[in-house]
Amino acid sequence: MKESAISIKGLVKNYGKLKAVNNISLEIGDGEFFGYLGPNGAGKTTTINAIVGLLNYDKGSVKVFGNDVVKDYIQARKLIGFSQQELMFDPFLSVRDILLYQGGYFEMKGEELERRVEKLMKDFGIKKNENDTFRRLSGGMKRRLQIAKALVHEPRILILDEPSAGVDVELRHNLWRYLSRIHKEGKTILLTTHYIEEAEKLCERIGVINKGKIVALDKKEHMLKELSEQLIKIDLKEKINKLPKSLGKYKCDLNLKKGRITIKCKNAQSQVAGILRDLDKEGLEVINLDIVKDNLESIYIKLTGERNELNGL
Amino acid sequence: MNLTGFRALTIREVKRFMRIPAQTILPPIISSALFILIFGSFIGGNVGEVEGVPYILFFVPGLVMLNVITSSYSNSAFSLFIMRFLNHISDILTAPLSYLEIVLAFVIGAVIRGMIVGILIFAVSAFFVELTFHNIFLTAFFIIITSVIFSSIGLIVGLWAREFEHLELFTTFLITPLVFLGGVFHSVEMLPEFLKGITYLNPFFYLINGLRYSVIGTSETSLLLSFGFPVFLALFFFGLTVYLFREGYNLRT
Ligand SMILES: Nc1ncnc2c1ncn2[C@@H]1O[C@H](COP(=O)(O)OP(=O)(O)O)[C@@H](O)[C@H]1O
Ligand SMILES: [Mg+2]
Repeated sequence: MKESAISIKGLVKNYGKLKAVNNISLEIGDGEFFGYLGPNGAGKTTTINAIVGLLNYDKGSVKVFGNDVVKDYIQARKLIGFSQQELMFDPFLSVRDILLYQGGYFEMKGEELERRVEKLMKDFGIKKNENDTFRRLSGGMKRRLQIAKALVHEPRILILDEPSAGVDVELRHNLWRYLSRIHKEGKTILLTTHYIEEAEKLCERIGVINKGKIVALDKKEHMLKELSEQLIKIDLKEKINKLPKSLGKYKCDLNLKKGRITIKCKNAQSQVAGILRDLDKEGLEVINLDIVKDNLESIYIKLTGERNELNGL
Repeated sequence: MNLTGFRALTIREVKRFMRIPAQTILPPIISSALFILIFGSFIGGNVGEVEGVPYILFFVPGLVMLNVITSSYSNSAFSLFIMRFLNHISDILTAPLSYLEIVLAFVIGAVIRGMIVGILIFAVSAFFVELTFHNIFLTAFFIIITSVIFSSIGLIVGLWAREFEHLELFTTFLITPLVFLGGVFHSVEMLPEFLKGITYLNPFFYLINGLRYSVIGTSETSLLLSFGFPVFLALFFFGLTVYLFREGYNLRT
């Protein structure tokens, strides 16, 4: 296994009685695109804040490429580019100066810094606003500035806390393309979101957090395979009123309603051939067959018990 | 040491107050000019000499001290509080800057503002009296050390405050009364016996006395106290500020 970019062990953070983060352990590999998914208030931002140095946590340890974020905080911070959930900037500074100062804080200067800032302003389409203060920018433009700012010092790790919040569809898709590209170029990316589609599109591995605990953590494909159930819907020519006996041997949820058999279980798909054979043996003719697969969305709802107002549409 | 980052933050601090001189530089200069005009020229003529110098020369160092104190305090208190209030302080807290570098950058910004204000008040007074310095290096020393003390206190209050009013509380109820009682306009000699005793307990008295000594060359108290005490206060408050930043007091959740 490659060196861990981020290593979190037994992280605990309480706010009074509230366990905002309740014993979380998480390894994110070098070059990985990791999606941290969970409903509002799950503890995503609290976890992120522990990594970037904005949280006094109660227990556990957090390391960034082996650097403890408390003891070796300078080394750890050099490696991270962080885009906060809230869009707040120095109100005295122009867009351009915001980026220049950010570079300065991260030990960049002169020509190199100027060139980097120019490039980012072009890449993110904020060049035309370079002399405006951030208050004059639209929500989408602020988000672009926010992410550009995280990238000024070319960090090895990019941490984005809800980058798609309040962003229109076009920008979101542009952003996804951009992130995919820099990920291919080798950047480690940690992204929190409550847009399931976002995690499904971009991330290689996904952690689902709910009420301060990680409730699922796996490669995206695995998670889909392991947790997803399939639903097979079979319409028969003959309107039967009792489930065929032969289907009893499948360990699935069986249902019969108005002549339609529904079969729901984890590996239903792989059983289709057998099921059809059994029905045929009983002399039942199938006129329609439909297989519905779970997506990440429905898995997520099952794990968190929450239907997301944005994704549930 | 992240020199580039430290420099960037220091420049940011200086540019912040330079951008708004009507709020940061001009008010103390205007009020001081009025004091000098009224107390120095109109009234001062009737007061005669104090501590062997014209009254105007006696109180100008006090006036400088008063304004260096409030300027350096306000500069770091407001700068830090606004960063916290508008929540962009995370920019510097997530950057590879040590807590010492962060505090030092704030303090240097405030020291520069304190020095500009101090120099300008001395410059204004030069129109009304022949201004000579007993030891100009000591003058610089007292202005700098005072700025360090009060910008550190400003940072502590800036961390502690939850609203803008909290920042003013400190100036209105503590700094201004104690500075005036510490002898901006009067010498201890002018006071009744029981007030003299109290004055010696007022830390601002030693700062004013020290700066005044650097200008007129006479001191109302032991010079050792006037040197040692400010140095001790500066180290104490600066150290406390760095400690609070390191602990993340009201900075990290
Ligand atoms: N500073 C704070 N004081 C008290 N409670 C907090 C604070 N910050 C976050 N919380 C609580 O901790 C929980 C987790 O919050 P957060 O990590 O922001 O969730 P998410 O980012 O997943 O939406 C929430 O219940 C939130 O209300
Ligand atoms: Mg959040």
